[in-house]
Amino acid sequence: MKKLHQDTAKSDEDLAVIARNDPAAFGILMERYESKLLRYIMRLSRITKEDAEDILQESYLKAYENINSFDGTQSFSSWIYRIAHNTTISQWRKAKARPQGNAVDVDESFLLNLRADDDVVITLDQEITASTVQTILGQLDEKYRNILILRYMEDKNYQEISDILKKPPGTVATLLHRAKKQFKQKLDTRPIE
Amino acid sequence: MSEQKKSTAQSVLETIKKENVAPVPRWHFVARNIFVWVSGGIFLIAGALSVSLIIFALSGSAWQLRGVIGRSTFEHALVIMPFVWIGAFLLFMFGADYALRHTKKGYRYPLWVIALVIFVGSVMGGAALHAAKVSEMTDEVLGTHMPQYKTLEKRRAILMHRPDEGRIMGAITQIGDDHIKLQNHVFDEVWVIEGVDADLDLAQGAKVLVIGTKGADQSFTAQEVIVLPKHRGRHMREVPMIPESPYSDEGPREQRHREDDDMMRQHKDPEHEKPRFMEENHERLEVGHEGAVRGMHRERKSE
Repeated sequence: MKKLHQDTAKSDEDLAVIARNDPAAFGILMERYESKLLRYIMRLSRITKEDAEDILQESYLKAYENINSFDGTQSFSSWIYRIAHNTTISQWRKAKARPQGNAVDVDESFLLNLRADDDVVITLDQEITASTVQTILGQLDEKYRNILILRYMEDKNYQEISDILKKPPGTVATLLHRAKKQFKQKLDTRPIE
Repeated sequence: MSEQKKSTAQSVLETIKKENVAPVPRWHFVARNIFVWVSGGIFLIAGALSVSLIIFALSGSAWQLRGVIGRSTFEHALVIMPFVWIGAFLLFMFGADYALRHTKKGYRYPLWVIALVIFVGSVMGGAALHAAKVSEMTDEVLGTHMPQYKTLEKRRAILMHRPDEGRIMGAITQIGDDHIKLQNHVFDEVWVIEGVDADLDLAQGAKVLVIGTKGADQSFTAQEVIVLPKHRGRHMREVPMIPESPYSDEGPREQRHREDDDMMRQHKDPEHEKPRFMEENHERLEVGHEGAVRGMHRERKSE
């Protein structure tokens, strides 16, 4: 009991090292990331919660099998997001079907973060609802949608996005710039509701 | 614990216990990492070797003879360019890029940075290998073990030895009164070249390019004889001399000349210049003054 209490106070990276020999430590990590990763998987693939839980389980099993590959060159968060990202994309491509009506779950933070960004000027008189953003995100190219989700919904910085997507930080910046541009274009040309 | 639906974490832990799921051992990832780096290194070295062979192919007398062959710069460049090695270099560059990009931190660097590092490393490595004669050795080894591979010497011969177009390349094996014999060992041919200017400094063993007109039965009338510069101090693969009796071709006239020259040699003018491109241990010949090369055969120096 005392050990469990001590373990819960440890950092993700320390727990990952312990988890190589102790599944219980891995259990703590899973609990820490369960809701975040579940939300991310659902945003990425726009599937039901049940399907997302299956993908999350598979991601966790892969993470446990490969726990010895985590060596601290990146944060544990980026490492496990990368595994969840790859598993989701892989499963989504296998299924090759996007359920109708399941849009990206957009919350207030997305709009706030997007508005705060100097690159994307969204005029104050524009009424942008969550459903508008959902629709536009759904129309974007997959690579642009993914990067906007990571940046403005998952709150990842450029280095973390670089580690998750395995792309140079410069490429991440370029992709993000293009994603915001495409978002703005679609926002400006959307039919008046 | 809540009796509600199991969390994902609990389900996973149960699966791990039930199915005895174990982490992949650490050495597996270490070995993979080493493999990636070693592969990248091998591709880099192979790329450097390709560059050294490109430098080797483009150096030497190839450009100098462009005017003699009569081609335009572009045409000549197309002919002498070692496209196989350029293609190999590009292939090895892609291989090195792929390997380096799959290292732990390789993805963090832009494509142009990795490509530049690989390119500069290969060029510098290639120049060093060429300076150390590794390119030359590689060219010879490949020529020996791969019949389809054309060594630089072979490519030069194909480029320059065109009897029907009035060009013959070979090594001088015999210098007679008014002719020389050339052996082209790439095409396994022996040619008798007539009308050779006596003023020329010719030595047995020297590689020459003869411009002229082809005659019948492996004979050729020379208009111009160009002694080819040696590639890095030697005429590529040295042609073994055909052992012949020094006097086998002599007629009565030649015999008289030889005897006269023997007399002259005894009272030799010390200011007489030695022929250029002489090799030690080759037979040495005096050049006469009346428009023909006269032979003066000597015993080969013992080694």
